Amino acid sequence: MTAKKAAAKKAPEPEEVVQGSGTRQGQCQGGPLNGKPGMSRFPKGFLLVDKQADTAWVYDWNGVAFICRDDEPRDLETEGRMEAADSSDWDVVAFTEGGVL
Amino acid sequence: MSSIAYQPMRDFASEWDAAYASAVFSGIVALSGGYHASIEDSRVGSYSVVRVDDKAPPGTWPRNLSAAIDMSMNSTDMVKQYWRIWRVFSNPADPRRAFFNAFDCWDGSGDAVRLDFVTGGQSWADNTHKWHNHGEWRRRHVTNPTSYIAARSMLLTDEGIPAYLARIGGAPPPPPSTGNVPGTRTLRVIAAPNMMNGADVKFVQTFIGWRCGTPDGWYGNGTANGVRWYQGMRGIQVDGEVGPVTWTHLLGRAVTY
Repeated sequence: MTAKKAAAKKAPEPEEVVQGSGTRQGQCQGGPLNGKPGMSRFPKGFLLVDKQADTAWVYDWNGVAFICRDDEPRDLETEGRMEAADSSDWDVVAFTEGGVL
Repeated sequence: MSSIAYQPMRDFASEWDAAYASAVFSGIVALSGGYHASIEDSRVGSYSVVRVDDKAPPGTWPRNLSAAIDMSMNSTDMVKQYWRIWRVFSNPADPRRAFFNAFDCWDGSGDAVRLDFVTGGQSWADNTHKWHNHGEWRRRHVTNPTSYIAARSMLLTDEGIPAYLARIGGAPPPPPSTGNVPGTRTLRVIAAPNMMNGADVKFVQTFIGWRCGTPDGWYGNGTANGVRWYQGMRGIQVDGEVGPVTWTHLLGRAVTY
């Protein structure tokens, strides 16, 4: 542990910043995150966005796992991801090779 | 729910999104509360409405605006973003600090952290902040155009202080309004659990250097010893406390409070 992070232990986190209790965690099934861990702060799941490839995948939360809705990626529609970001139902996650955990 | 996103904040979020290869905007207004909710939508006593810059006395700043942006990124960009934030956060003299309340972010190892720009303190942040940055504006500054210049300077262009000051035309930073800003209160050793701490303590420790021990933001005996050394060197009363006279020497300007 670095000195910086050791120092971080001194102060508790504000309760509302801790979103863990409302965070859904589970394995992803299908799509580029197949078999990898996933996480969403919102109830319906998350939109996985790969800006470089201009594509996105929808992962629906079924209470246990995140299920990729389509076999093929969707064309990234900017307005669509903005709407997801503004909603209280969907999280928006940037594509990372190892998943989102 | 009355919380709305201030359009310049939304515009800045779009800039932030465009500035990093992987970044994707992931929210401003949220029912979950904190700085994503307006003052009107926050419960009394919420951490997001108790600080001086967040209380909004009647007739001051809007009460219906959210004050935070979430920005998801891949791990490479998260780390890059973290160090840009850290550069400003870790310098008590950086004028850009005055616009922000806190950032939750990740340096690429271990857990995510919350960097409190008001106190200069750090704490853990939940693991969702390993893949999204959460930036909180002090509510007083959500409608302040200079706050977005400061945000752009810190988050997107990684400028130093001189470049930032040139960008705002040398305009002075907003007046501080909290008790933890250097030069606004007297620092002295007080036994735990009421030991004094904050950005002003860290400023003193950083300014005086190794004689104060580790610059951890807590005013203990080690810091007082360093202050005594400094006071002796400057030829002022040696008492181990940082009052107006010592502040005046540290800050290079007359301090009264």
